Amino acid sequence: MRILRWSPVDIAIVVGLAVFGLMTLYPFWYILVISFSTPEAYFASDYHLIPSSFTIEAYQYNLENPQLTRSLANSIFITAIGTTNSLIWTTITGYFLSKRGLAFVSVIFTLFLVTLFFDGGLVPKFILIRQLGLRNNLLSVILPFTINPFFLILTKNYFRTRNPEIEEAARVDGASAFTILFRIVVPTSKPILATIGLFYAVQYWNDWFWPMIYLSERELFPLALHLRNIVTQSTSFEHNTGGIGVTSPATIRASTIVLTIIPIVLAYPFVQRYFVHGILLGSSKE
Amino acid sequence: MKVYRGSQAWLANRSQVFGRISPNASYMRLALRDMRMNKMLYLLIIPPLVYLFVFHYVPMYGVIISFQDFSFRKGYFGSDWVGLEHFQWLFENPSFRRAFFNTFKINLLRIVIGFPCPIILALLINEVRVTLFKRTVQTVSYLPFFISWVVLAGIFNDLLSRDFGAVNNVFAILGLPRIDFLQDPNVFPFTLVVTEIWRTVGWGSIFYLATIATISPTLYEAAEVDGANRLQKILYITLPALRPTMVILLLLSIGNVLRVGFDQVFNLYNPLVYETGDIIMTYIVRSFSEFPRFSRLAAAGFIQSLLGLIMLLVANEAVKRLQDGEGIY
Repeated sequence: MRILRWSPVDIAIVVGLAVFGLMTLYPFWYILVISFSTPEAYFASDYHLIPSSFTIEAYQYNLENPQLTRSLANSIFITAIGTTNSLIWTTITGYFLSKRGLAFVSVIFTLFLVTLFFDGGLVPKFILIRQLGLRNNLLSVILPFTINPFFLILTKNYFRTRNPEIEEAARVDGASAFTILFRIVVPTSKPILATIGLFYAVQYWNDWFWPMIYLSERELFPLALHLRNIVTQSTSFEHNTGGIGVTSPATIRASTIVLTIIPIVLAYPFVQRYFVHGILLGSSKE
Repeated sequence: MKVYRGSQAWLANRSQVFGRISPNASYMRLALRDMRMNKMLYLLIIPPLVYLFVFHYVPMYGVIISFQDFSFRKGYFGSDWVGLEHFQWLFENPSFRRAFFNTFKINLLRIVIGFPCPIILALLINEVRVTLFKRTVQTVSYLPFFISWVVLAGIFNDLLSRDFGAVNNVFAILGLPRIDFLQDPNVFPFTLVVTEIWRTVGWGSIFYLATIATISPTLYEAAEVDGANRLQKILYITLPALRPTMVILLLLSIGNVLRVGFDQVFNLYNPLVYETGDIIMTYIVRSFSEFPRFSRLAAAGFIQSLLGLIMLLVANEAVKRLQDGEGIY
């Protein structure tokens, strides 16, 4: 084994990257500290590097706020149903498109590809949702996003790198396409399914834009849209208005932000290790 | 026995199978044969096709209202035809023109400043020899990419505020003037660029690190034998190997100039910085929620989609030329 010798350049690189890493994490730490601060401590500290007070008041306020719990439930519903629906149909379509040479495969692939290049735009989509009667229905922020063409291409390419022999054997044994797909292909394609699964989940969880356009009833708002309303309503005013004695808007905002990020931060490390493998194989072109 | 026997294989010996029939007729028969042999697959693809038609192609057809005076009562087919009136109105409107040019300015600034960053980060990470540290930096650096701009705007509004923000507090200690990152129209575009780099630099480095991983170690060993130092190895081995990835990512970001940035701008901007910060999408969405004139806004969206399409096709064509006929898509 070679002994590591640390040159000044090595040390400079490690220090530089460590500073970069801390700069990436600092904004998250900052908001976490504020979310557990008392309003007085929020105004007293300049950087919020070290917590000077600890209270869960802001979280208590939030979790007792029916609007927040309602949005949380909506977000969980949208993410769970949306991701499941998207994964099922992206897998099926990707599998179909991976069968090179089969009739209509290239035509159907082109039809999906076109949607990457040209988009109807906001107004025609709004008109469609309105005419389908889906306004103020959570399906309006799930169904239109069933298949993302980028993720579809990744899935299709990944399936094409698979060894077809196992499938052939199963087919000879009389398995249907449905059985082959869900019994053989899916269990052995974890990297790509984990990767696009996380992408879809993050996309549904973070979406505030389409809910803002399609939903007008507050009870239907997902967490991200609820947070947006809080953030835009109270930008930079709390320093003037004070808020002494009550939990200030800043700490409540911070705790809402933390609640919005937590699920992503928790799921992320488990899926992260599949990224490079899933994306690399998925983006390879033969 | 080949399982999914495709038409192409069959076309090769179709004369033996079907005898002398017209090429079109034979394609239909081959297709029918494919479908008979793989019934389940073709049944499963029907719902995705219905989805594609309803949620993508119907709205695409819907851009027709940019040429109409659309009303819900009359619908797509009954509304009055007005030709290019909305487009003319838009290009004579100072707000739209401003948004139109800002879209290009902000995104070009983003590319010029932001493009080299992930390359530098990837090169630095690659030089680290302690695996645990390397992995940790990578994991941390990808994270912000998964956080939405609503959340980040909530954080940055606080962090970048002129009088109380942590960044300006540091500036004050260093004796620098306090800067109004979010409300000074001259600074705002740079705020957009820097915060976007902060969010995406780690994710962007994934593609370069993946390419670096494919470089054969023997190249480096040979260079070492020849006495090359670290910098020389980067300059003469790593960077040339990254060139194709750089070209693709650069062209792709140029092709996407008209499509990106909405989430960020819409969550960070305010009326004080419309002058330099308003882009086409924010103009559309703001007008949509203030006073929706469907046809006019559809026309604005059509301009954006069409120019976006042209830029992407040009970029794809450029990639094709550079890589012996292989486009991005």
